[in-house]
Amino acid sequence: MDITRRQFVKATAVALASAAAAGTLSSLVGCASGSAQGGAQAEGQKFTAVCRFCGCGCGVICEVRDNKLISVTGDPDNESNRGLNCVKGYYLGKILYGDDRLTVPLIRDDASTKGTAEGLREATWDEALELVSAKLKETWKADKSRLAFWLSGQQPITEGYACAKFIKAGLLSNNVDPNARLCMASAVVSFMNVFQTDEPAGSYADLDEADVFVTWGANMAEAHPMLYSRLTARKLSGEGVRHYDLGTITTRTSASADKTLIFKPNTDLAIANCIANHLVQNKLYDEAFVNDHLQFKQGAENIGNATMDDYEQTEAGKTAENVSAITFEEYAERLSPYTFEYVSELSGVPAEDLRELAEVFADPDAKVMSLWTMGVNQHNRGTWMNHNIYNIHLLSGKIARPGCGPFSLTGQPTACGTAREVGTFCHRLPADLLVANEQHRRFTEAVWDLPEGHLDAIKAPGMHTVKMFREMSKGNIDFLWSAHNNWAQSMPNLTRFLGMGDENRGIFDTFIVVNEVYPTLSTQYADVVLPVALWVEREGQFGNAERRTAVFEKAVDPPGEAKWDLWAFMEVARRVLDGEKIGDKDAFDHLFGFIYDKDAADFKGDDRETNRALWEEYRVFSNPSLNEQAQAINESAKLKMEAKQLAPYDEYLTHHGLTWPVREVDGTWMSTKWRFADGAQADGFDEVGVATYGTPGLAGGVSFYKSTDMRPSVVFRPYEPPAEEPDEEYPFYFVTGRLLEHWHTGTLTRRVPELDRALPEALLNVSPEDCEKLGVLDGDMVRVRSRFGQFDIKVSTAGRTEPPAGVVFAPFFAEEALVNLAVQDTYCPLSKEPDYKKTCVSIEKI
Amino acid sequence: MKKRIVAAALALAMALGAGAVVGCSGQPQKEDVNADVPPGAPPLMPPGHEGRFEQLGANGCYGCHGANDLANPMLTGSTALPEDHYEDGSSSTQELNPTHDQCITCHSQG
Repeated sequence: MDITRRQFVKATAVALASAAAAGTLSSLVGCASGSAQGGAQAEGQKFTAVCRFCGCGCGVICEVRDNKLISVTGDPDNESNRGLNCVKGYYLGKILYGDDRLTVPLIRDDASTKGTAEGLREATWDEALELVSAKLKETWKADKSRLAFWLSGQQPITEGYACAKFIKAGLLSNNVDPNARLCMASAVVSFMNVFQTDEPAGSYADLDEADVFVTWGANMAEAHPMLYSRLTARKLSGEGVRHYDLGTITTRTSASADKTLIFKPNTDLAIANCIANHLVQNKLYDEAFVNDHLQFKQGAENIGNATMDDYEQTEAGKTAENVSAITFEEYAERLSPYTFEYVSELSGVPAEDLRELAEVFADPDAKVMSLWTMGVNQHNRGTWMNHNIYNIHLLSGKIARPGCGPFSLTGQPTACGTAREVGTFCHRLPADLLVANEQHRRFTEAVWDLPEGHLDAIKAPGMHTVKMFREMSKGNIDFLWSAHNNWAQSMPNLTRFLGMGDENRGIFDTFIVVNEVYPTLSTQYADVVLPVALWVEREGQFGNAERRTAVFEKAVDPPGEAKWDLWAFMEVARRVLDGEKIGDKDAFDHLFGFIYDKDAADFKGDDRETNRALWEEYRVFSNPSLNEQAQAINESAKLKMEAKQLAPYDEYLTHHGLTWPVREVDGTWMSTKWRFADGAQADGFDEVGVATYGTPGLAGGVSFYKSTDMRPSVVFRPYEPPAEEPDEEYPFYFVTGRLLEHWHTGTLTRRVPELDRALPEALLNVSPEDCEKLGVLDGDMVRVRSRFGQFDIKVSTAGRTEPPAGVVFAPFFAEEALVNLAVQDTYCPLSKEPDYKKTCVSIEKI
Repeated sequence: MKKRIVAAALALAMALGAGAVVGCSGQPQKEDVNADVPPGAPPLMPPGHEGRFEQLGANGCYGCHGANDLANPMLTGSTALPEDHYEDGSSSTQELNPTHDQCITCHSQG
C-alpha cells in the first residue's frame, strides 16, 4: 500500500518530535531565508509577460518600481503554467542588471583582434549603423549569396516577422536561418512530412489527463521544469499513472519513472519500430483509425551522413528526402524484423521491458502521451525518429484526444511562434508557406502587396545553418548579422567555425554584426556590436510549444543607449533600401511605411502600436478573408490558411495568451487545445476547423484536414547507426545538453548570482566504472578529444546525470569548458539539424 | 516506492538526529545565499542541503518544511511551506499540492 502525503507529514512529525526529545531540536531551526523576502514597501506597477527562457512559455507577472524590475512571479491567468514558475523564471528580473551590460555601440577597427576580449571601441549609433548598412549594401549589390542572417527562437514574433519581410521581400535573399535549426528542425520536417502542417495536435492540457507518459530523449526535469511539475503532479494525483523514461543516460527525469529504459545510441529507431511491429503483427492497432485516417510510405534508406561539406551533392544526399507509397501489408513486412529479441539485443533494453512498453500502446483504453526533445531531434536520423514516434501513436489511434498524443517539446521561448511561424528559415515564408511553392509565393505577395512574381527571385531555398557556418569558415560569406543568440558558443564544431586551425579561417574575413546585451564569445568575433533592449525593455510576443501566443509588455526602459532590435533593423533597412523600388514605389516605405517614419528615424507609434500594426499585417496570413486577393488564392489553391488562425492583437493581452487556431465564435475569440478533434470549441476542440475543412464522424472523432487526402503518413524508417561509433581511438559517446539553472550558453543566467552559485561550473559526468578504467577521480581535470576538436573539463561521478559505461555528458552553458569545440557538425540529412548527442571522444587525465 | 522513501527518511532522522537530515542547523553558515532574493521568489536551499532532494525526493523536504501549526508544531524554526503549496491553498488540508512535488525546480541549492 502506498503512503499518502498526509500520512507522511504526520509520520515525520512524530519522528522529528522524537529527535527533538533527544535534544536535537535546536538543529532544526535556521532555515529561514534572507532578509529580502518582500518587505513593507508599496506594491509596484504590474505588467503581464512571458518567461524569456525555455519553450514552456510560462506566463509571468513583472513588478516594476522606479523603472526597475524588482520581481517576477508566475502568472495564474496564463493557461500554460497557471502560476507555476521555476528558479530561472523567478530570477528573470536580475538578468537585466548585470554589471557589464552593453549600453553603447561598439566597433572593431582591427580585425586581427577578433577572438579576444580586446579591440572593440565605443561608437555612436549613427556611425555603427552607417558602417553596418554600407557593408550590407556592398555585399548585397556585389553578390547577395555571400550575405547571411542568423536569427533565433528567442526573437519576438513581430521582430522576426519584420526581419523576414526585410530579408525575403526587401533584399530578395533566403540566406536567413534561425538557431531553431539547432533544436527543432527535425520536429518541423517530420510534422510537415506526416501532417503537412507544423506543430502538435495536442496541448499542455494533455499532461493533466494522460494515463501513461513516455519520455523519449527528454530531460524535462531540467529543460522543461514547469511541464515536468505538471507531469509529476498528474502521476501523484492520478490513479495508476505510469511513466517510462527512454534515453541514453539516466537523468533527473528518470526519478519519476516507473521504468527507465537505457538504450544504445540510435536504437530508439528500432525500439519504436519494435512497438509498431508488436501492434501490427498481433493486430493490436486501432483498425478503424488506420482505415479512416492513414496512408503508408517508405523513404530513401542507407542515406549516409552529412559530415562532409559535399554531402548534399552526393547521390545519398540528393535522394535522402524521397518517399514512395506502400501498402499496409508492405509496411508490416518492413517492420517484421523488429522483434523483441532482435531489438533487445540491438538496444540493450531487456525484451520484457520492450514488451511492457509495447503493451501500453496496445491497450485501447490507455491515454498515452509521448514527450520528446533534443535526444530525438539532435540525432543523425532526427526526422526519422520523429516519424517513428508518430507511427506508433497513429497506429494506436492515440493522438489529438485529451491526454493522448505525441508531443514534441520545443527548446526556446518562441522557436514555434517566431522561427517556425513567421518564416525565418531559409526555405520558408510566413505561416508554414514555402519559398519553393509558386502558390505560396503568390499568396505572400498578395499579403505584402508585392507585384506578382516579385518573390520568384527567392524560390530556391538559401543556406541552412550548418551550411552557412561551413561556408563562412571557407571564406564564402562576406557579411553575417546575428541577433538573440550566441553562435560562438552554441554551434557545433567550433574548432572549425571559430577558425582555430590553419584552415577554415574565414571568420576573420567576414564582417560580423552581433546584436547583444552582454559581452559573449560571439561579440569577440564581431566587427560591430549593437547594444539592444533585453526582454521586457520593449514589448514583444512569444509562441510556445503548445501553439500558445502570448504578449510580454514593455515594463522598463533599456539602459544607456541600448535600443530595440527592431529599430536597429529598420534603421539599416532604410539605408540599404534607399533608392530601391518595389514596382514604382519606394521599397522601404512600401514594406515598412505603415510602422516607420524614415525621415524621423523612428517608429510612428509607441511599442504597443508598432507591435499591433505588425501583428495585424501578419495575421492576414491566417485570416485571408482580410485581403481579397489573398482570399482568392487561398480558395483556388486550397491552402486552408485558416488552419493556423490568429486573433486580433489585443485579444492576447486580454486572455494572457491564446493557442492557435483561435476561432471567433459568437463574437468571442477561443483557443484550440486539440487540433483536428471534433467537439465544442468552447471546450478546446477544433469545432470550426473540422466543420470548415474536415469530415465529422470518423474514427477517434478526428479529421486531419490539413493532410494530403486528409490522411497523415505513416512512413517506415529503419534503424541506421550513429554517424560515428566508439572505437579504440575514441571509445566514448559524448552527450551535451541543458541543466536547470542555466539557459543555453549561460550569458544571462550566469550573471544572476543565485543561479551561478547553484550551478557554478560545467562538469563531465562519467560513470564510476569508466572513471576506474581511466584512472580518474572526482575533481580531476581531463582533456576530451574528438575528430573535431578538444576541450578541458573537470570530472564528476555525482553530477546531474548518470551516464552508463561508455557514455559521458557535459552541459554547454560554460564558455570556459567550451564543449562544442569537440562536437560534430554532422546533421540529419532531412532536417539539417546537427547531432549534439553522439560525438565519439577520448578522455585523458591532464 | 514512496513508502520506502518515507521509511528511509524516518530511519535516518532517528539514527542521526534530525539536524543531520535537514541540514538546517543553527550553526553559522558561510554565506547567506538568500540575502538578495527578489520579492516573491522562493528561497534557495542553504548550504548543507546538498543531495537531499536527489536522495529523498519531496518527502525529504516536507519532513521539515512541511511543518506548520497543524501538521508539525515542533518545527516552527524551519521555513514553513507557504499556504499555496497545499491543496486548496490551505495548510489546513494537510495535503500538499502535487504540482509542488518537485521542490528543486524552484529551490535550487544555494
